[in-house]
Amino acid sequence: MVNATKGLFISCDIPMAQFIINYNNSLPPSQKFIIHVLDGTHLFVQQHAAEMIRSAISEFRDQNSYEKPT
Amino acid sequence: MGHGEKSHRPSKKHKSSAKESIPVEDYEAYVGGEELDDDVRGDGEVKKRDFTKLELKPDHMNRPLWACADGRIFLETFSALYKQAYDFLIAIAEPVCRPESMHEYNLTPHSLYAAVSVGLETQTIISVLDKLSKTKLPKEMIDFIHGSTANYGKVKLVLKKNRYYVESPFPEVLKKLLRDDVISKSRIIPEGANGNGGFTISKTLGEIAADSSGLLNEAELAAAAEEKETHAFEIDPSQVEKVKERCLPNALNYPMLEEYDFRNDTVNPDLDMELKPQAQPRPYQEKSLSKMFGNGRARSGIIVLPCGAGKSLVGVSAASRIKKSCLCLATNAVSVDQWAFQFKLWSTIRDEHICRFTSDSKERFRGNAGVVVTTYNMVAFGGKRSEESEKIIEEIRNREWGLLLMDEVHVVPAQMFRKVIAITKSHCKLGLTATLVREDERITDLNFLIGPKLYEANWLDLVKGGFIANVQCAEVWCPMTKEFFAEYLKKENSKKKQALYVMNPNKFRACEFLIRFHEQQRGDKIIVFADNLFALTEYAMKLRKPMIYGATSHVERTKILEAFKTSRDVNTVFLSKVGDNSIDIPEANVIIQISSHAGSRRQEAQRLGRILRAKGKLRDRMAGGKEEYNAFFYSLVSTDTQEMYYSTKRQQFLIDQGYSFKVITSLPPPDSGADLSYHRLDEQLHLLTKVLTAGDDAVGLEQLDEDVDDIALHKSRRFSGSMSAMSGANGMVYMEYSTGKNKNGKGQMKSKPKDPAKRHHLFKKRFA
Amino acid sequence: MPQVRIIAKNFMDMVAALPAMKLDKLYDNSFICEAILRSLPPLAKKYVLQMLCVELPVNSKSMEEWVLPDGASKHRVAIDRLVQLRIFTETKKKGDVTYTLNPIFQTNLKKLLVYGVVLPREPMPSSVTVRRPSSEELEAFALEQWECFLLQLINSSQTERPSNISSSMMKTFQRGLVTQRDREAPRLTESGFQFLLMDTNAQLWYIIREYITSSEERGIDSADLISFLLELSFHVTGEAYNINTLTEVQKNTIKDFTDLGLVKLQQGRKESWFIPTRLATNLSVSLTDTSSRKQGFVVVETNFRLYAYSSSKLHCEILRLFARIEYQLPNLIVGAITKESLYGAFDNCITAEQIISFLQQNAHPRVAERIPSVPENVTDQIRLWETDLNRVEMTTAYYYDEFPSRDLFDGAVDYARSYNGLLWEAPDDSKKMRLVVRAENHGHMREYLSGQK
Repeated sequence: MVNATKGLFISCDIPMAQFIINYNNSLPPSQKFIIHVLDGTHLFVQQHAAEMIRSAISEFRDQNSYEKPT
Repeated sequence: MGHGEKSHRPSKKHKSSAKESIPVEDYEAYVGGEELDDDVRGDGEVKKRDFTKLELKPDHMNRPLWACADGRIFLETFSALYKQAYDFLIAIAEPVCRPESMHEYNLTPHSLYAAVSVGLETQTIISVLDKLSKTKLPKEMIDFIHGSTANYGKVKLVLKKNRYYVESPFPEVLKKLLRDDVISKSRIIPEGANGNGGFTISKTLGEIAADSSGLLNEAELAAAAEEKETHAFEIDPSQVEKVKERCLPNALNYPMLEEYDFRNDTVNPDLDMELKPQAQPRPYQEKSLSKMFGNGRARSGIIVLPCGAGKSLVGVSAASRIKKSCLCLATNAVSVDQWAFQFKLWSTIRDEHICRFTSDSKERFRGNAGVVVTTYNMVAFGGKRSEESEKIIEEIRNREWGLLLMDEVHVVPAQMFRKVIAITKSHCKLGLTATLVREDERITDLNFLIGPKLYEANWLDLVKGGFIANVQCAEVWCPMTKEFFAEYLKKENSKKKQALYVMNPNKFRACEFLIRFHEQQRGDKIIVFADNLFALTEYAMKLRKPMIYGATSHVERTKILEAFKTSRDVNTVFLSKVGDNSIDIPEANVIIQISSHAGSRRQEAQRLGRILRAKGKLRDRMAGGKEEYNAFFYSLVSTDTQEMYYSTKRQQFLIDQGYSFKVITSLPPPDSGADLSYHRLDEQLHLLTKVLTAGDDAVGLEQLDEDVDDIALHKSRRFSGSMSAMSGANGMVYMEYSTGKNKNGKGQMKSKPKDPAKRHHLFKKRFA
Repeated sequence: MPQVRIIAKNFMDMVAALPAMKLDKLYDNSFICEAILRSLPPLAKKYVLQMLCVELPVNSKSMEEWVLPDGASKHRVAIDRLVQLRIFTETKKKGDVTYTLNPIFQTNLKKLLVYGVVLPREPMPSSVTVRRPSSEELEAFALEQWECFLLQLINSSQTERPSNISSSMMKTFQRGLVTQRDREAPRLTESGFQFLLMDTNAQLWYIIREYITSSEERGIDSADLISFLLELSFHVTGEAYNINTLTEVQKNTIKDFTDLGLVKLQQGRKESWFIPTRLATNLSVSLTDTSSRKQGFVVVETNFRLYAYSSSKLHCEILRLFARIEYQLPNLIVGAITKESLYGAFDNCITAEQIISFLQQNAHPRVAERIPSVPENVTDQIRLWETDLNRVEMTTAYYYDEFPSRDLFDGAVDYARSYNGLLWEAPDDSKKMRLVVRAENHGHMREYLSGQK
């Protein structure tokens, strides 16, 4: 019997996938959001996780970028 | 107004979180470690700087600049008056950025102090600025100039016939100073003092302003060029430092300018040296000298020229003009050799009149005047010296030096400066540097310990003139491999982050690709820089290239450099940060940087400086010439890591000088690279294991040895508490590698990295 | 002009889109006929003149012989335009296509040739119209009015004085450009931002188009309005024209045009007059689609600093869309393009390309000849920052597994693909049969999977 699960399909590059996986691993079990790691650049996650992932990525990006003070 | 003050209010939320995550390596272990952290932002909101109400002059099109009430000045470089305006602005203001079309400057108390000390008067500054300005000058700026210059430059300390005089054209100022107890007690009252408050009155030649071309050479300057009446009183030589201190801004606020009337110095013997005819100073070198010798005397101060632009010729020229004994201070033994060489190259000084004083060579000059080249450390050293050294240092101490020539003043800590200056008695101090990083608070120390900035060249103008190489800068983005990035992100690997992003196989492949490209396609000579010793050895071994780092012996170093210079088979050399400034490799024209010290803007500029020395014919190098780009600077960066943050930060100084970094995102190109290293996953995984099993300390930064860079050692001692890196147990990492291309395998390997304490001991031993 | 989603159709498209009745009415005016003629592509102009004295229909085949073979596409464009504008009437009979010149148009144009140009109104003699502005003054007036209007349009706090444009009219213009959720301050929409990045001509067209299309709401015939605009565009910049030559409707319209900076109104002792500005006469420039190039004013440096030679508050507002403004001087705006400022722009759906092309189009003459006019490292970085934001793509989807057979799996993959809904499938060598399909195709997938059972 074919099984269908609703969620969020994520397509990204290799480092971003690793980042999301690592982020997921850092969360307590109740908050983990990855349903399936499909391959190196594709993930299937819970639908509500979109905002959470985006803000984690943007925080990470800010950490790694230098902005010249005025 | 531009006081260089920074707001230290809490930064914006996400900024501060970014800040916290910057790891321990941000502490400044690098030579100096003095760059002020400028990451602390203001509240992130841009202050409204609305100066639209300034009145535009009808002929504003013909004027080159805008001046704002907060001290910021904008200069059009395409204006017909650019050259004059530049010379003027660099004398009165600090450059903020100088790209192609528009320069920005800040008027600060320091910059105005410098302006006054090269002979510009308050009224001249204001009226020339007003002439150049497209708008009427803001009242705030005029007030600021008045306020800042009211006291500056009014008082001079002059050493005349070995007697110290406090000199001023304003007798009322001298009277004011004499109301101070310390100063009045230091005064030596001449016999038969007459009515003028007892001051000696004399005439001095006014300023022969170097920049008096065209616009600036008007009534105001004409007035300045007239003979001026000066008043003076003598002070006790033993009290000079105390008097100077009383005059500093935090006390009486009449900082004294120091000038040396060397032509009238009949006490100190002359040194027979002239510039050789073939030593033709370039226009900007001439300009810096004219700032220094503008009124026929020698002024103390700092001259800023990019690396490779010929600082040494300026230094040698200054010494040749003063023609008195000269003490030349460099940062390390290698530079000492180079300075001695430069003196002989450019001047007619006889060999017996120049000597080197280092741990290895303790020479002495013959006759009653000469040049001594040594290091800051040799002079400032506080421990026990050898008998021989003690004698030499005693001579240095006792001699009255005509010129104290100080190289790389930006790397020398202030305490060391104080010490050196206290030990040596000199009439004139000239500091040279390439990178005066402006956030540096040390600039204050430099200002009062040496003197104001006398001149600063514009990098882009020198590039356009063909005086320094036109460098193509590129930032090569190397994506992390999946496995390396997964490890990088793990909390438990926080101490290995640097090793992981430096050893990123994609970075290695980009490096290998670039080396091949430049060696094979262009026949270039390449320096690869890595601060991280683990990476340095891994890369050099894997690519079978020679490498030099702190522990490489002098003999081997010389051998490698000689091969690099002469052999057609040795075209790439790997250098640790020992190569940042103390190794001279004029043949190199390509730099590949695989790891660096955190966010040091100075290191970036210094490394670029390694390839700035212009090669080939001048006409080929000029804009549009056939070798317009003949030098390449690549910075390899692992994307999505902290290295990105540092990389951008490091570039800021160069970017402000008008350099731009082109981002290259795919190296090697997608259709190639199968023949490069780490193409296969198993090789990559093997490398990963190596990185992960190496001790946390082993994969950190290199700590320099004493024979590499004296100043660095001095610093690392001070920081030794925070560096567990070399504590012994991790010796095994070094065991695996030999230095460079060593035929007999482990022949010259270091048995164990040195314990900082022990190294300190070794350092002592050299002098004992 | 940046490629934006607002299609600032040119004026002639708008004329062509008028209903046949209104078009024919337009051609009653011989001046309009001339205006239209002048706006035509060169080949079309030639055809009209060639047909001027031909009363009979001309066969399309013989007309094709008028051009060389390589002019065929231009020929097509010309004919299409003429037919759209009802200057040519197309008749199809037994596969034969013939064209006739619109008789009203023909008559009026002939009259024009015989009697010369009949202007709708003559300029007033300068002896009557005192205190006429110089061309610089007029130019400054026009720009100031236009800028003031735009600032008000985008609800900028920088507006110094409100224009006289009625708030209902302003609301009309703001449609699509500004949104306002209740109680919140109004903010620009995506189109609004893009609108600001367009050049003045394109912006003017956008506004004029809104003005015309909304004219019926105000009880004004759009054809009358178009014909008045056409008239206006053929007036001479800086000349004075008597208000009394206008109809009541036109008099009201001219007031609105004053607020937009198209004309300046002046009052003499006895009479009043209007003076068309370059904005008005540029309408006719735009008729032939040659966008007049303004002088650029922006210098971008390799260190991401931006210097705009402008005293315009509007320019300042525009630059603020993607740059951090640091200094404002009487004739210079200083700013920096930062990651933060760009992210702000990207949030408002301004694209990297739009920003780059704005900077390039408006490059100061000093840097305009330089190639590239905007430093490459800056344009690269702007693009890279944009790409960086789009590295992770998220799609609501369904994940299917536990397929009982390879056949069913393969079928499902093909089926999903046929709907363009397939997002991911397990590689062939994988033992697990899994696929991910867009959520919107789930209904079909369910049907398919249950149907196959």
